[in-house]
Amino acid sequence: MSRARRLPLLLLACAAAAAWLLPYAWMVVTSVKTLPEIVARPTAPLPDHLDGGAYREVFATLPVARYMGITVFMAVAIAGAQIALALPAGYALAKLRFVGKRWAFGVVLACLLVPSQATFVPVFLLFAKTHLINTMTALVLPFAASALGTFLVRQALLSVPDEIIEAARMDGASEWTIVYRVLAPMLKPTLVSLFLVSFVFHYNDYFWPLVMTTDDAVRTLPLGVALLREQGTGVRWHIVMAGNVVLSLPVLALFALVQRHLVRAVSARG
Amino acid sequence: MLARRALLRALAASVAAAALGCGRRERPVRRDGRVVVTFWYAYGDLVRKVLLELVARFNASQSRVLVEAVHQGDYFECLAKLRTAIAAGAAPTLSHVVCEVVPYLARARVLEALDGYDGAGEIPFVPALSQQGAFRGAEREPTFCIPFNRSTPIAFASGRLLDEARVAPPRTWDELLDAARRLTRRGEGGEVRWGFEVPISWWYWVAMVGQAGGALVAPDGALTLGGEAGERALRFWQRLVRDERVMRPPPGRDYQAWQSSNESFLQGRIAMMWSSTAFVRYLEDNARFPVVAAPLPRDVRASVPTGGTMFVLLRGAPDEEKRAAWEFVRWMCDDEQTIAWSTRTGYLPVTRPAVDKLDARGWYAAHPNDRVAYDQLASVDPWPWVPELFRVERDVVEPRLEDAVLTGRDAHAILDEARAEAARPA
Repeated sequence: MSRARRLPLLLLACAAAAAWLLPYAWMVVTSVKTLPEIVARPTAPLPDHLDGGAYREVFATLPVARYMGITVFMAVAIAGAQIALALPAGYALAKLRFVGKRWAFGVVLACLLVPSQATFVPVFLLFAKTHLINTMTALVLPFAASALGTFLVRQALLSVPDEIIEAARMDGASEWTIVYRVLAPMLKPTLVSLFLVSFVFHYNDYFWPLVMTTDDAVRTLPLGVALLREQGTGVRWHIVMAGNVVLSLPVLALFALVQRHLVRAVSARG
Repeated sequence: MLARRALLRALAASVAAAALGCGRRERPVRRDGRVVVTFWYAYGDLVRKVLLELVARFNASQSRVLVEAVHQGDYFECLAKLRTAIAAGAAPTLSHVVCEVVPYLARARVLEALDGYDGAGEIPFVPALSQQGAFRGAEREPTFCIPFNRSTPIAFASGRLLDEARVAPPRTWDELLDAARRLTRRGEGGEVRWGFEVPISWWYWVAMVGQAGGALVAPDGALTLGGEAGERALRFWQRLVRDERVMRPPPGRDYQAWQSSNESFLQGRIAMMWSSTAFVRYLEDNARFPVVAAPLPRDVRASVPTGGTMFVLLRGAPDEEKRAAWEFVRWMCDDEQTIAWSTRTGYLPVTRPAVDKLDARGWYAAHPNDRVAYDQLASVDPWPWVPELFRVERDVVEPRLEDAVLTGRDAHAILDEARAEAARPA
């Protein structure tokens, strides 16, 4: 592509990047301002001087390490469980022959269309009756099986030649070995993107942990960040923003770590 | 935020409809020989810090009771969780709820009547802030709630802008309109400094209904929503926003709109606003101009509703826990705790001896805006003791106010619609 033809594309890409980056940059800048400064000139691009008071306040107010540990553990457990369950489910739907296979795939697709609003009341009641409120189980178990994950794995497996599976079987590999040791490494880009999507969604989730926790035992960081905001007597924005910067750091680190795989997954599918 | 609240409300409604009031724990929770009181609260940041300090002080002051305060989101999230937990048998011993929902919870028989508790009738509350003063018709009811963080609407103005325009804080609706006209400035670049701003929300509309001489409920119990006065209040808003263009309706709903008004006010983009007395510290601490508080202006009379929350004990908790929770509530109403809570958060002091002590210590002389807030309690219009009140607020009136003001729809038609929906069983 010539330079002249690439220019509009480049400008568009820059505009899209700015649309994502500017709010984040604003959040970071606001977190190192003082409240009177924010109130007087909220859109000023730079602070008068760097003030780390908001970060000191965040770490003094919240047990950040504990909340973050719980949140990361929960998000990793959910993403890990989803991958572990989506692999055999997707394999069955893509490669095995059984009665009702099309119907089963239809059920998976239907699950994608069911909003969580329709299911969380019975799930909550179930967990309340089984005394699982305020446990890690209540945070992880409802999300362990993922329709989206099953769908993605099934679609990715359709492009894997059946001969590979036949060869593994002839070598005496069990079905579990085929799924987890032969096919899983081949689906790495898909699994990495599934892990990321799941991790980010559940790491940021406020609603479900709020519903499922009534004490501090397994409180997550997004609930902790909500402690920094007091609406009834006035919001101290620099502290709220500092909390959100801290909250976002693990996700940024994770993206930096697996960016290569993610790009490969997207480009492979494109 | 709204979607999250909607989900929580759906959860609460679904569960509560099935089993409200069913859950009851038999045995009290104990730790190290002390009765544990679980206290669900809905504050963040500084208010939370003050509360937790008071809780720690209470826990250190005696060895019988251990209060464990747990954050449960904002007021409405906390309420939704409370209703859900009551039905699921996992309710705390103590919580605090917005004033308007108390009659509903009382009718659902989930609140503990407090009259039999030690010293319950002897706490010298500021009359307008107690259950008996905050509700009309509550004198026939047992005491179900104890005032905690209480507030009223109030007018704030920039002293600098008032001086520049030689305008006094308005005392009537006519004066408000005139002052807003004189304080509104339109720049050549299209920027506007608005004379007046108030969130288009239930609380302020109720204040205006009272000021226009109306009441939400007729003496026969019919939900009239102020009748002609309710419509007059809406028309006055429509006039300020649409005809005179001297008021900006702040963007956002609930507290987002309130916060937006605060920020515009602090940036000098609005000259006068109505807000909550609870914001007085925040505004004074962050304004680069003198903040002038004034009572809300009257139409045919002065009137303000009360707001904030009340302590409630949950009936399903074991008796020993409820007695322990009462000990904490009683302690919170002592002068020193009341004073600490009020002066550090901006909420109104809830007992008369605390007010007297604040006066004697020179607090009101040093903080005249706090005095204005307290004096305005003489104009409090009590809420009707109607179980439907909270539903009417959240589901019937609040969603229609913005529509009425922004689109200019006929106030009579909108309130007729609201009255019909309010009369329908939930």
